[in-house]
Amino acid sequence: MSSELLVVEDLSVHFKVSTGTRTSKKVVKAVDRVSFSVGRGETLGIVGESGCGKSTTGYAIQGLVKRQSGNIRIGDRELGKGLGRDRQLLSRRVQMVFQDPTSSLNAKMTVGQILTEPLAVHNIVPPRERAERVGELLEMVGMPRSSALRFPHEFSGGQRQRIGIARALAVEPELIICDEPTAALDVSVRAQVLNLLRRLQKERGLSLIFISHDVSAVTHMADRIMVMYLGRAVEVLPRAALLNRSAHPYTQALLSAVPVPDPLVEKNRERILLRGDVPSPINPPSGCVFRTRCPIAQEICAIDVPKQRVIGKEAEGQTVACHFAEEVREGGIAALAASSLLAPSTMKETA
Amino acid sequence: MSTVTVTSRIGLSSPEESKAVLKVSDLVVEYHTARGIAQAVNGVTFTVHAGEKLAIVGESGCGKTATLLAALRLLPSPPSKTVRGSVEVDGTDLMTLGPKALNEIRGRDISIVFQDALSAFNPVLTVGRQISEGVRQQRKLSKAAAHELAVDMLARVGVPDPDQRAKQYPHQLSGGMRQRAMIAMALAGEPKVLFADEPTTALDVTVQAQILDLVRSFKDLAIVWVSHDLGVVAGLADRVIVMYSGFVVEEGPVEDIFHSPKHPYTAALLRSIPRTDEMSGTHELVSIPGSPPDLVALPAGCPFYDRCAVRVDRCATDRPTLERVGDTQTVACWVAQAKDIAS
Amino acid sequence: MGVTMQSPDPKTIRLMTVDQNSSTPASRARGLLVAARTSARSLDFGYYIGLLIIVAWAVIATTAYLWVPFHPTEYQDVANRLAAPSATNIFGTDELGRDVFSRVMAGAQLSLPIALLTVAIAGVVGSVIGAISGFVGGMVDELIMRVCDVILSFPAIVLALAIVAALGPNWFNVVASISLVMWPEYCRLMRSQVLSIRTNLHVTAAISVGCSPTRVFSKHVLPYGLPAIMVKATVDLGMVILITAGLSFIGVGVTPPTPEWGAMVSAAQTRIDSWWLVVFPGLAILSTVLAFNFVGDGLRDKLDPQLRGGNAKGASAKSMLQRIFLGQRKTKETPA
Ligand SMILES: Nc1ncnc2c1ncn2[C@@H]1O[C@H](COP(=O)(O)OP(=O)(O)OP(=O)(O)O)[C@@H](O)[C@H]1O
Ligand SMILES: Nc1ncnc2c1ncn2[C@@H]1O[C@H](COP(=O)(O)OP(=O)(O)OP(=O)(O)O)[C@@H](O)[C@H]1O
Ligand code: SF4
Ligand SMILES: [Mg+2]
Ligand SMILES: [Mg+2]
Repeated sequence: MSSELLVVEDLSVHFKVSTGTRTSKKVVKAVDRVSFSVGRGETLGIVGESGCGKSTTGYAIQGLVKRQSGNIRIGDRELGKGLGRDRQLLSRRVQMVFQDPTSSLNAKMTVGQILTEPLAVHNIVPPRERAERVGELLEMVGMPRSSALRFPHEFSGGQRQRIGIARALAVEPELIICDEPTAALDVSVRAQVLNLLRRLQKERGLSLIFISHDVSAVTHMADRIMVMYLGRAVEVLPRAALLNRSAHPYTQALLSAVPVPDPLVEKNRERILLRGDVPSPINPPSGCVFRTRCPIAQEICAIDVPKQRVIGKEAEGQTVACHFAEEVREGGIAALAASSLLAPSTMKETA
Repeated sequence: MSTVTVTSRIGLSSPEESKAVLKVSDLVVEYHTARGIAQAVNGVTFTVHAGEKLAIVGESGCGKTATLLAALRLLPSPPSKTVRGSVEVDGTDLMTLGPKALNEIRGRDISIVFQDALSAFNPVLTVGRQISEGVRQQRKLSKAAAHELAVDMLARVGVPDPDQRAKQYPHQLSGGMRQRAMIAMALAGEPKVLFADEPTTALDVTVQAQILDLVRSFKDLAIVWVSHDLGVVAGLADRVIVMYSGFVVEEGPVEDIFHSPKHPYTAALLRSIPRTDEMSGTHELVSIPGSPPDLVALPAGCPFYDRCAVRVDRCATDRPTLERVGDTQTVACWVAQAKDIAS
Repeated sequence: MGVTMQSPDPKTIRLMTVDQNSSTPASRARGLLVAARTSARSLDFGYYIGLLIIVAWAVIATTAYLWVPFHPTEYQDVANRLAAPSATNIFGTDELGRDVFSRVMAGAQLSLPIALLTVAIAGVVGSVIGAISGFVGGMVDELIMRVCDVILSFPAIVLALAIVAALGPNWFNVVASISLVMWPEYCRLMRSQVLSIRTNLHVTAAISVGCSPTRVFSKHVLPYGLPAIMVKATVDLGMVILITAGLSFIGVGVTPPTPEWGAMVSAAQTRIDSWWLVVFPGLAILSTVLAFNFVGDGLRDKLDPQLRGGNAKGASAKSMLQRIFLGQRKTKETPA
């Protein structure tokens, strides 16, 4: 498809970690065979619990970590596997906004120097016009031009994150990966940054990958949402489908676990409670990674790894990795678990 | 006060169901910093009735933790100083107690759980031992009885295989289980009031949902739950206190706070958070400009003045006090109070 | 009940470093007071005193031969040997009747350059090797670290002594031997700095912006690692003077009759009753060591924009020098 800006196929990123003893090294499959795409001007949200591989996915696209396997295509260009090779080119087209605005800015440089750097590195703007461009960038993110002369620590968290966004905008990229851009911010400041990102995207036709563990922020920002669990993309679906057409048990459970700031809604809610915690990524369950917590897991789930497959009409753009996706989408996980059809099999204890 | 103490201690003669088990009045806490005195808690007052779930919400740094810790006299001093205030648990004022009496009340009548369960546990003692330790001392339990109590408590908070878990060390439990164990530890002494300082903030949402479900099942326990997550508060609390830079700016029943917030800060806060249940992705979130005031140099008037959208001249000079607005809420805002009188 | 205290969170620190605009006159006054107090502390009296002493010694070192009352080596008045301080010989004379004052002043000409050169060589060589070690990693890192371990496992002075003894006693060999003993310390420091800084998010951000590895290193890693190196260097300057003195004291340092502080103290060891022979060169050493230590401490604060308060200069070497020598100008707070 020509309208897709970014196509990721079967992306895997593995890390070697030492486990206590000095010699034994284990492999963490931080991202395991994940496929998705981002269209031009589209926002893809990536959501999931801590350690599920959201950041690593973003880092892999940006070439900051080495991928084990998989293809990444930007526009019509295939990216090489090496870390250094496509760096220069890649960073002109893809930029990143990081979670912690304090540590992601060089504290020894002024805001002006920070924003000039990408311009200089890529030599986009002639030296004489750079100061002017920095001023424009600052205004774009709603900061006074005079900020250029000050150091990052002189700004509040929200302002620092806006500086981080301005830095990402400097090279006029086609895609910006935002890795939990609001996680370190206060509630009242969060909205400023979310609004800014949306405005910029609309104005400049940017594509965004919005990574967050905050489901409500992702649903607010994203056109399509990818749900990750233990390194796998368990479901990719349009925002409109999230509320009532999601087809993966985890997506439904996740959504049901997110508290809604409305006491009436909360009182009358039916909740799907999952058992236990997320298993260790060093030792993931066999078959479906979600099966140890899944309310409807059957024997096949422990044996066969469910493939990421299209569900519904192709055009709806929903893919899911669950053996019982059709049933889940139709019946809803709570009803399924209660019915005899897909009652919890005997292999698990109750929490 | 002392007569009330006696009767409630024995548990007799409380005709009205909603007996106040905790009364915090005019709590003031300061931090002595290199830059001057930071006024972290400024006259916080609230009452908790038996079985009631009270939530304290507010942004980071607004003094939620300081309030809880000061009320239990757990704030390290220096740098902090609890300037004044009284904290009555069943009529006994914690502020006037000696160390021994204080220790007895903590854990037995009132107890606390923290955000970071791992650092709240001693890493070299088994979980079971730590759960029962306080009670064991107070009730002079035998070792076997203490273990039994720990296992019982763990089972009550929904830890699977409690007998085994009680013998394990804190780092061997998963995050969610550790949080449950900490709740078990706090509840072992059968307190009437439980303080909870964002105990689910560090957890994943699906695990948070489990813990919230557990807490909702404690019907008779009075809880003061601190959080910055309005969603959690909505699903848990009966009554809500909204704090801003150390002040209580609004208080009321949870439905009223969420459906007809009176203070401009509460209202803005509610409109600044995206919701999952309405897919209105197109609407702009309301953002509150600026940032909270410096606690070292609090403005003379309303602390929210700089960021307030409806402010009037008076707000800059006079600090609003908490007054009743409407039937159920109290609000510290001149504009909201004036509106109430007008209507 | 096992209730545990929470440790104060990072926000506390933010509260103390981010200067917000105070509003009421009273609070503004209080703010100013606090600012004055902290700036007095960070501007650091000791730093300027130290700087003054070092500059004074530098001037003396370059010009001493022009104005000292007696020639430091050639003037000998054996009749007036071991004279106590007097109007003509204000620091007294030594066993050959040479003027101690002239010799102490002239001694700066050798002692200071030895110290500076030694630290410069050890610092630059050590930092470069350490940076490579940290950046490249793997076998290279392993090898370099083992070499450092070997050198560091000897007591510094003993090793230096052995080297000078083998090479022959002259000032150049002193420099060579002490730098050889010292560079592993810089190497280790730089390596550990690089290793930790490399994982900082701002470095990831720089890579993702498109900076080349050399640029990442020079602009984003080095400025974070340099302050520690510079502080160590200033402290070491004093140390080198002491080691030189030690070598001279044992007799393998600078050869007589060249005036050098350490050598002078060592020559005086047999003449305890002539206290001026020890005290004046000793004071010279002491004042320099102290001065360098003061400056080193002050530098650490000066090089950190966070401790320094706003300044429109970035991380360039020029601005760093300006910061070190001119202090900083307080820039006006522009409301954001
Ligand atoms: N450099 C690394 N070395 C080893 N393991 C790593 C590394 N980076 C990430 N991991 C592991 O890979 C998994 C995925 O990590 P990642 O940071 O992508 O998760 P995440 O979804 O972004 O989580 P969070 O919400 O906590 O940021 C985790 O189990 C993590 O421990
Ligand atoms: N040790 C300390 N020294 C100085 N100031 C402190 C200290 N501890 C806390 N403060 C300040 O006191 C105020 C109240 O802190 P508190 O921890 O109660 O906030 P909080 O509402 O619990 O915030 P959070 O949501 O981040 O936990 C904050 O502004 C904080 O900066
Ligand atoms: S039903 Fe099976 S495949 Fe689907 S989520 Fe549950 S465990 Fe995984
Ligand atoms: Mg992450
Ligand atoms: Mg807190």
